[in-house]
Amino acid sequence: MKPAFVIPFTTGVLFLFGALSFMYVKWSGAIGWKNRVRLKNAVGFSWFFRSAAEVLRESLLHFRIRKINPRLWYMHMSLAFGWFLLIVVGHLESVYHAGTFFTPPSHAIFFDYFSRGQEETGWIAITFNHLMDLLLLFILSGLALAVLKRFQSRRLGMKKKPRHQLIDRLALAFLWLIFPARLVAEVLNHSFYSGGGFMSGSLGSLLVLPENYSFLSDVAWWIYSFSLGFFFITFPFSRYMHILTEVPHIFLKNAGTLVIADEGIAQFHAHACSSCGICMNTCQLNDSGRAIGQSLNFVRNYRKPWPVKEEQTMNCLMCGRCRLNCPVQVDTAGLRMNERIRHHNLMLSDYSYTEYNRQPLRHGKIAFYGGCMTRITPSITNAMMKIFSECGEDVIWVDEYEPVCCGRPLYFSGQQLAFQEMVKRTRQRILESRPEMIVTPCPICLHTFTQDYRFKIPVLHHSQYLLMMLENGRIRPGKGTARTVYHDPCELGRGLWIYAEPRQLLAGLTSLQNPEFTEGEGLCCGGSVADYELEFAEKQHIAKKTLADLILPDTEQLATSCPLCKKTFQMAGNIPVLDIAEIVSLALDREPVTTENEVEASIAR
Amino acid sequence: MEFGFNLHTDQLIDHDSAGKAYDEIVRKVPSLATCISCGSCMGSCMAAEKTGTGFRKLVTLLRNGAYDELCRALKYCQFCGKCWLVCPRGVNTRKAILEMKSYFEVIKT
Repeated sequence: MKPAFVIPFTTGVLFLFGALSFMYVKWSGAIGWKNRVRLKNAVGFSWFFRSAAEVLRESLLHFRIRKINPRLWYMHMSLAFGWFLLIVVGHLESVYHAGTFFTPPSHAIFFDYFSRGQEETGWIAITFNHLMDLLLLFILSGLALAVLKRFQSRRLGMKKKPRHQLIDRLALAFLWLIFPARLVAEVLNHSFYSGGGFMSGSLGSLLVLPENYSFLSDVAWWIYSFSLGFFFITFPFSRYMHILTEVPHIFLKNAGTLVIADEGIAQFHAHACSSCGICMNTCQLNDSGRAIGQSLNFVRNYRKPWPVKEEQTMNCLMCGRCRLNCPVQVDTAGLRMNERIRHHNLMLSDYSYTEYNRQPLRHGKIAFYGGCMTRITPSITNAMMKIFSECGEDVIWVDEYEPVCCGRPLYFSGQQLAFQEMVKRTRQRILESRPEMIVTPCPICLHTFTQDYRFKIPVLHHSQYLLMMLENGRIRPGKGTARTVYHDPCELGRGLWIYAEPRQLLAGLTSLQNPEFTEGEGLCCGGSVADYELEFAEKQHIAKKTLADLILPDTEQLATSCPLCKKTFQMAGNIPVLDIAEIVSLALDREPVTTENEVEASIAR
Repeated sequence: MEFGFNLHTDQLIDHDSAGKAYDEIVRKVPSLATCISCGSCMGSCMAAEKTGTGFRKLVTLLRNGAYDELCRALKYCQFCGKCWLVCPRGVNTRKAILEMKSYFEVIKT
């Protein structure tokens, strides 16, 4: 005969699993055919074990958070891993006592109630008692840190803490109640009945209450059951959906599925977000003064059935720092692109004017594509042209007369139809010169070319091209001594993982002050074409903060390899900003350091 | 009585209705109100070079209520953002154009 207080708990569990199965079946059905194919191709032993290891590492042990802050890691890990162990060990304990593997969950959850008056004998039973107490203490220590984080988040390494919505706060209140309620219930239980581990047993024997107050023990079990039941009922509507959704999300993610234009996968991504707020800490929108569209806020609203507000969807630099720092790598940019496409996809465009007075392009071995932004930083194009003539290359500047954009700004605005049209026109124009190689100084264009254009010829960033020329000995620049800091553009760094080439190039030509780099690090200049919401002054705040972080007191010049970053930094500070092409071009005027000179210098020394 | 004359709807300046659309866009993009029609945007625009319509002209068309012409010109924008970079008043041009496209429903039906 089961006691009545099991009812809230059982109701909660049944509701939770009903709601979960409904949601998971719905989302799985919405997965598009492309992702189904990817999933089918990925399924196998290596995929399974890799994903299972990641579930253990990231959903339970949270190793990625440990890199950010050890205290924050302990808080997350003790709650996740501790609760998991409490469930597993609790079940094993009930299995040991019942003698059968299939015990109902309520038997394990309220085990101390069911074992009332039974004298524990044998070392296994006593070990279970102490182990369960230890695990509860482990969780309570994490809970104490979680309470501390609410009030003093900086102590746990969080500069900015998330502001949760009503349903999340409600779920949080029930979650916080569960473990203290369990402790109180166990202590009162052991105060009136013998037994218990080192914590609940000793506290229970310390608490001396008259015999007719034994109803208090039952009341505490009721509170424990209610807190569990209410938590499970709020669970599917709150951020705590992440606890269970992380598991299918990691398996789907490792199968190579993509969020773009797939509502099923997108829902798994959105619900795997725990709103932990780690993304907000590294987000550069904090410096702009307008951070309404930060990933945490956006993803939270994406989970809701109605569309996300325009000012939130469009307020993002798309620099990609949040995804790299996310404990479960939710594709924040992909979710945002889905929402942007929903808002703006069908907007009409007309780019037929690009063909007015069309000049036919002659054949050239190298197609140089300047991009829109080099039109307001012409020094980059001039420098590149000088270098090309120095190398004696057969080069054709493909967008000299015809205004064609790579389409990245259209892509970021969500106007997919216009973007496709632009891609078609630009691709046709570039291939008209029948080149063998494409070189562009703009990382934004380069990213689009590699991602959407499907060229069959190599597409190089000018830093890669210049390094190649330097290594081949086709250009012989002289050594410089200007103290230089290199800035990694987002599209080149996090977008295409090109970090080493520009540094290798600069190391010989300047005195480079930041030759070391961490992949994935690097700050946005603030001028991003992805953000449609920030005003000019707000973007300049970001640029100023980035400049302040980058340059050292004795830095003479800032080097970058993106025309947009160059323009943005030029407007934000007094330091000279040079593109790497300009640095190479200036170095060509200097006397090259020949090997004979070096030999003579070494002899003279 | 019909005299056989027609009004060109896109040449008609209707100050009552023009104000409504302009106010609505300015409410969403406050920096648009600071536009001084200097023409820097036109100078840097790739589309203006070929079509003769840049951001300055879009604002003029919006203020004057020449919506037919405006809807045609809105389709030319490539959203590259050079106008925004050169604007001396810091007008958020790309958002203004996106909001105009939404407001006038320049969408595929």
